[in-house]
Amino acid sequence: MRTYERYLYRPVDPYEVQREFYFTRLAYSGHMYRGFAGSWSIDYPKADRQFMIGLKRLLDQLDAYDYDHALPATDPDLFRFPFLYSVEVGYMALSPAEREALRRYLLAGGFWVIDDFWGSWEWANLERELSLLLPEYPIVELPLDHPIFHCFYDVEEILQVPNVGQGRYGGPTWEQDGFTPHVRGIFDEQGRLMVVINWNTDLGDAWEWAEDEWYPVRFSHYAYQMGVNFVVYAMSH
Amino acid sequence: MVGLFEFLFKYRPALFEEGRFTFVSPGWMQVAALLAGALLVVAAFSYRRTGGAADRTAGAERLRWLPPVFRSLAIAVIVFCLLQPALVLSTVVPQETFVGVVVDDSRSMAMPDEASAADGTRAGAVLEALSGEPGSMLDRLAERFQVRLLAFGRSAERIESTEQLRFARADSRIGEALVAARDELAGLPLSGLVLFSDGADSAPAELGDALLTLKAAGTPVYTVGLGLPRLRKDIEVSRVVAPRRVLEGSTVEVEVTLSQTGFGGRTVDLEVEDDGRIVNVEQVTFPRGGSAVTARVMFAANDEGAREFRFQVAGQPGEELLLNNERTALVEVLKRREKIFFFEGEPRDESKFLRRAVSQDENLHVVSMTRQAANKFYGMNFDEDTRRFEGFPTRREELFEYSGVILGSMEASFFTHDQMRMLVDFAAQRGGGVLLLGGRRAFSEGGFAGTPLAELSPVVLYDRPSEQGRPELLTDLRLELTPQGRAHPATLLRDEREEANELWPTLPPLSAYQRATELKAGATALLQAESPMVSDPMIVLAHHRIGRGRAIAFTPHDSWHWQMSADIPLEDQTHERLWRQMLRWLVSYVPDRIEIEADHDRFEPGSIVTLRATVRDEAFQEVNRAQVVAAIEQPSGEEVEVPLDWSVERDGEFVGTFTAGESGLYRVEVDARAEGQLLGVATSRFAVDELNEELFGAARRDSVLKRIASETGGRQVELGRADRLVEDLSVSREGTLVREARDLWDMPILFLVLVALLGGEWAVRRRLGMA
Repeated sequence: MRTYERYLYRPVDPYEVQREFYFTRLAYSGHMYRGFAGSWSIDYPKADRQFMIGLKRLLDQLDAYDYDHALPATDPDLFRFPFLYSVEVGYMALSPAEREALRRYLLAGGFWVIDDFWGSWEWANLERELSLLLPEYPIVELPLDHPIFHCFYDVEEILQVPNVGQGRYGGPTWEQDGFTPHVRGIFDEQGRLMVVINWNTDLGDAWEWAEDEWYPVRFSHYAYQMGVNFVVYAMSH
Repeated sequence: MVGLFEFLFKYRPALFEEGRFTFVSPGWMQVAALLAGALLVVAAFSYRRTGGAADRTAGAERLRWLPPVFRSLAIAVIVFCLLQPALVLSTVVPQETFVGVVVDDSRSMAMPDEASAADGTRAGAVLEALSGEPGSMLDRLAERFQVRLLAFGRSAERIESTEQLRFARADSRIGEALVAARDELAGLPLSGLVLFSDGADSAPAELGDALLTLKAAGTPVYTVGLGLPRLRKDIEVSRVVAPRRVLEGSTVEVEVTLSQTGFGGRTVDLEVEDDGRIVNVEQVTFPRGGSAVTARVMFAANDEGAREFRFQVAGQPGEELLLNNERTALVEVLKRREKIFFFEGEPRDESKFLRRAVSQDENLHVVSMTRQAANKFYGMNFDEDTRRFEGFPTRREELFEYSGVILGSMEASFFTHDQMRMLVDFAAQRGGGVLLLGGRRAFSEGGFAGTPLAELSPVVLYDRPSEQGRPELLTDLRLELTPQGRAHPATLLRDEREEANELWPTLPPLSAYQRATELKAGATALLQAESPMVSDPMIVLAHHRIGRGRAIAFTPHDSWHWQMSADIPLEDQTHERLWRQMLRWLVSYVPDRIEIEADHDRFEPGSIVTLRATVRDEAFQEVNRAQVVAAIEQPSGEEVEVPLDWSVERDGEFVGTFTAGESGLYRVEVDARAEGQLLGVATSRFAVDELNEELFGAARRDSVLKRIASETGGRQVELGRADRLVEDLSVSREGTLVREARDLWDMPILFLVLVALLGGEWAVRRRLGMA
C-alpha cells in the first residue's frame, strides 16, 4: 500500500465507474507537520468530501466522483486527472522526480489550485518551490475581472477565510503575518492559467466545517463559490 | 464490313439510306410476272411427276420439297432483275453547289503522328490533301463542287489558299468554328462542310449546342480525322480537381488524373509546385493494363492569397508530347476565421482540451456554450461579431451564422423539436458541418434515435431503454484506419502519409460510451477500433452528406489523453493537429451567404467569363429581389462593374458575363443589396492565360469526330478517300439537285444468290437420284 493510501477509506472505489471529474489532492513530499503523515493531508479527507457534496449539488451536470481522491505527483495516473488541489504548501518540499512530473503535468494541460497557507515565511517556501518547478513563468496577481471570478458565480471581492478555530470563535481571520488575502496565478505562453494560488486564506476549512453551526456561513458560502468557479474554469479553459 | 457490303450490294450503305428504292421496268412488267408464276406451276408439276422413280428412303422423303423451292426462288431472282430495280438519289449539279472545307489551324496539328504525310505530321497531311494536285482530295472535290476554304482556331474565317495556314493557334473550338463557317457560307447552296481536324476541342462550352444549330440548318459535317487514335508514348496530366478556396494552413486535397500510353508499369514523380517551390512529390505507378490513374495529392496551403499550384510530371525518355505534362489549379488561400458553435451538455475535459487544441488556430473561432447546471450555461468566446444567446439558439439567424456546429454530450430531450430540425437544416439547407462527439449523453445513449438528430448520425442508432442507467464504458479502444481513412486529409497527423498511417495504432487507447458498430448507407468510416467488449469493430470516425452539408461522428470521449499523457512528449502536436484538421474539414466547402464564382478558375485570353452569384439572407433563404453588382479588378488595376441579373432558373442566383482580354489574375467583388440594405459582399478570383487545352488528349479523338458527323447527318471519312467524300457530298439534301437512278439489277449479291439456288437444286436432285 502506498503511504498516502493509509488514511483512506472510501465507500466506492474511485475507478469502479470512470467519472469525468475527480477532486484530486496532491500528496506531495514535505516537512513533517504536526506529527501527521504530511502537510498535504491537512483537512483530508473531510474537506474534500464535503466540497464534493456541495459541488455536485451546485454543478448538477458534472459527472464527478463523490469522494476524496489523492495521488502523489509521481503516480503515472496523475495525468488522467487534470485538476489538482493542494494545501499547506509552506511545508512542501518536492523531490526532483515530483518536480519533473508536476512540471510536465502542468505544461501538458493540468490545473493546480493551491490553498491554505499563510504569511511571508510560507509564501517564501512556495515561491522557492515554484521557481524550481516553473522557473520561466512569473507569479502574477489575478485581477477581479479575470474570468475565474465570474465563470459561474460573480465574485466581487477576495475574502480572507479563517481556519475553523478562529472562524468559530470570531477571532482574527489572519494567521501569522498573512493579513491580506491574495489570489495569484501562473500563466503559460498561450495565456492559459496553470496554477491558482490562494494565499492567506483557508478555503478548505470553510468546506470542511460548512455544516458547523458556529462557523460563519459567509465564509463557507464564499469558499464554495470560489471552489465551484475553480472547477468550472478548469473544466472549460 | 462496309467494304463487304459495298462489294455485295454495289453501293455503300450510306447511299441506300439516302436513296429511294424503285423498279424502272416498262409496262410489260406484269406480263413477265404472270409468266414467272406459270413457270413456277410447271416446275412444281414436273417434280410431282418424277417422284415415282426416285429414292424412297425416309431421309430422301424429307428433302423432296427442296428442289421446287430452289427452282422457284431462282426464277423469282431472275424476275426481280428483269424488273430493273434501281436506287433513286438526289445528287448535286456539278459546280453549282458549294462545299466548305474547314481546317484546324491549331498547334496540335503539328503533332508528328500522321504516317500518310511526307513529313509525318497532321499538318503535312492536310496540306497534301488540300494541295490541289491532281488526285488530291481538294482536286476531287473541286471537280464537282465550288470549294471554300476556312481555317479555325477559336473561330473560323475564310482563307484563299492553304498557304495561309500556320498551325500555330492556341486553341481549337470546333463547335464555334463550324457554326461560324456555316454562317460565312450562308445564302450559298451548301452541300456540307468538310472538317479536317484531330478532334481536339478546347471550347469551354459543350459541343451539343453547336451541333444542334448545324442540324437544324441542315448542314451535314463530314469529318476527316488526323493523327493516330492513340499516341505511342505520352504521359498527360488529364485532370486536376482542386478546391477553389481553402483556409490558410489547411491540408489541400487534390485529385490528379494521369493518362499515359506506352508507359504502363512505370513509376513517375508527380510534383506539386507553389510559386516555384515544390511542396509535395507523390510517386505514381501506372497500371500495366489500364491507361489512366488518379492520384490523391495532399499538401499544406500556408500562404494567403490566390495561389497557382502546378502539378507536373517530368518528361520521360521517348515521350512524344511534353506540353501536356503539367496543369495548374488556382486555389484561393483564405485568411479568415470560420465560426464554429460548440454546444456541450456537461463540463468535461474532452471539450476543454478540444477548444484548447484549436485556440491558437487563427482561422477557427470556436464559440462554446456549456451546460454547468440545469439551465445554467457558460458561454465562451462570444465577441462583437457574434450574436449572444443563452443555451441553444432558438432562431435560425443565430445558428446559421456559424459554419460548423459541434454537439457534445447533450441528450436529445434537452432540445425542442424545432431546435432539432433547425440543426438538421443547418447541415441540409445551410450546408454547414455538424460534428457529433461521443459522450455518455450522445448518440443512442443520449436518446437520439427516433428524433430528428438521428438523421445527423452517420452510424446506426438504437433505442436505449431509459431504465438502463449509466451507459457502459467501452475501454481499451486501439484505433486503426480504414482503407478510406488511410487517404483522408483529416487523418493526416504527420506531414508524410505513411508516417501518419503508422502513427494511429501506436496512440494511447481511448474509450467510448457509444456502441457504434454499424454504418448508415452512404456513410464512410475513416477510423475504427477493436474492443474486447463488442464483437464487431467499433466505428470511431465516420461521416456522411446531409443535403448540402455534412455530418461527422467521433465516438470516443477522451481523445484528450493524447494531450495529457505521461507517455506523450510535451512538444507532441498530435492532439492539436487532430482537432485542427477535424474542424477545418468540418467547415471546408461550407457556403457563405453571398457567393460569387466564375464558371472556371482559368480562361483563355478573350474568353467570355460567366459570373454567377448566389444571394441569401441571414436565415439562408435565397433572395431574388436584390441588386447585385460585380466589381472586376483587372490585372492592369482597371476596374469594371458588371451588373448581375437574377437567372430565373434558380432562386437566389444572379448571372452576368464579362470578356476577359488581359492575361493575369482577376479579382471579383460582388456587392448584394436588397431595399437599399447591404446583404453582403463576397470575393473570388480567376486567372487568364494560354491554357494549351487542346494539347491534352492530343491523340485523335474519334469519338468527337464521329459525334459531329452523326449528329449533323454527315459521315466520318478516312483521309485520302476523296471518292467517298465526293460521293457522300453529291448525294445531298441541300444545294442545286438533280434526280439520278442507279441500277441495282447487277448487284453481285443477286448473281451469287442465283448461283447458290441453282447449285442447291442440282445437289439435292443428285442426292435423290433425280439428276
